[in-house]
Amino acid sequence: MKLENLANHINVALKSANAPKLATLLSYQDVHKDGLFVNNPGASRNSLTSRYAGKLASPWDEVCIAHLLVIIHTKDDNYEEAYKEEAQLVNAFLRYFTTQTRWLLPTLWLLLAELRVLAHQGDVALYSQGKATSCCEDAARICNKAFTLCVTDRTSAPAESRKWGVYRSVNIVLKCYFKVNRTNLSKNVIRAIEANPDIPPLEKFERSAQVTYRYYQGLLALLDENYIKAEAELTFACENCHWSSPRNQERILTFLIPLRMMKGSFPAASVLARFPALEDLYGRFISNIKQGNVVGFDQALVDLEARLVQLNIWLMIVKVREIAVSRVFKKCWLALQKPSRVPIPAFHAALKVAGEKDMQVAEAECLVANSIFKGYIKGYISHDTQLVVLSKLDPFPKLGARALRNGL
Amino acid sequence: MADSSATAKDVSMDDKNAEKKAEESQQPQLGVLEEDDEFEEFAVQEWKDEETDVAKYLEQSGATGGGGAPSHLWEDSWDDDDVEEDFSVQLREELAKAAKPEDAMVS
Repeated sequence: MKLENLANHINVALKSANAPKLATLLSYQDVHKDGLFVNNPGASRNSLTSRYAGKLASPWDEVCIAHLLVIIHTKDDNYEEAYKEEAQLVNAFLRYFTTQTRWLLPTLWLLLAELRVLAHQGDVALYSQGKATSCCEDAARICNKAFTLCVTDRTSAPAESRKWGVYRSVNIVLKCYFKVNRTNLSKNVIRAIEANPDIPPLEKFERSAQVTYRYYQGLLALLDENYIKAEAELTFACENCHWSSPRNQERILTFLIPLRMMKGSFPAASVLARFPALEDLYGRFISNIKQGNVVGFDQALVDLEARLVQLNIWLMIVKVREIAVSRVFKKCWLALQKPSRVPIPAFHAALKVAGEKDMQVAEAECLVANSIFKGYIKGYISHDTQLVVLSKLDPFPKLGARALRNGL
Repeated sequence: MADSSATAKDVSMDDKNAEKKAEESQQPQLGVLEEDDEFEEFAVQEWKDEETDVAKYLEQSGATGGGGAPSHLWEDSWDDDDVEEDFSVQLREELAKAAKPEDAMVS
């Protein structure tokens, strides 16, 4: 297929408003790539520009040239250049997109997906040459531009508005920001949505967009230590995730489980059995809390530190440690048959049973004070008599009754 | 507000963590190259309540004939008030030791 033929096919797809067909024609992975490659040997940007620029309606001349060059560069495994051409293609496409309505969205999704794939491969290539990676950052800017063009549709009829692409495109932008570690930029795009009352409510969008958006909202809330919001967002994502994406469900649970653990709620054994990676990550913490083994908990914290830090959940597990300690106190109280006063040396002895062999009494007292402060124990310490005076009513409240607290 | 749980052990963990982060920041942006941890695009865009992962999971695990609630995924009652014999026995041993420190010294 010559480039002229490709242009003709594009014209037909445009005339019939066939966005999926148009997407296929602009995909560098579609079967037409081989014919296009063979029939345009040795083409370069210069030769193609002098031959085609202006011959096809703008921006399709640019789109076609860039598309052919993407194919040529990927055949050469030159992903750095392939990405640059794909970026040109998408930028040119966006100039057309901004004149159109919702019908063109399916084409946009394919182009942004392929842009991200090539950006990733481009960065891998740059990295292997010891150069600074830049493709994914650039792709984030282009995706952001696409998102903005969806938000700012002020001319289309409501049912036909590009605004129907707002959530799917913002999800792509957020994915980019998480990838390049620029989550601080996320607030800007979220504010752009919240500041625009014309955007239909999230519930009106496809469920895939809702689940993905709320997953990222949950992650952003976690970074802000807003645990209440994080739990609500991730719970929605967990309960609405599609069955064909167990991998996504695993990602959601990776962050929802420690949030629930902070409330004393553990995943059922069958859930952990279903996701071995989550069993590896959380199983030891859970069994050690149940057994009242604080030292075992600490050992797991040391062993799993790298992964927990990488996932940004280390801090949450450190907070869960308070539960482990408070359960030791509760076990002690139960073993003593629920007295109304517990001598601090008894709690001290319980911590020794929990593995804290070298702990001093003063340290034990300090941990009791913390448990009281955090609401795990209702009562007060009489320091002079070394007694913990417990509330008559429910001195060790159920963990679930103790609401999540942000930041604490 | 002072956090009284910040024992010596916690502090040493924080230090280790800080060192680790410093090490990481000196490396090139390897994170960009990891694809594994990404939330993937759903293959379908719209689905019914019965087609969620949770609904399918509850159905397959036979939780009350498909009428299972998402709450079945979570275990909240592990913290019930059962006295554990093992823990009680060990606790009594520790308390006995604490009550007679001179014995411990002799042995």
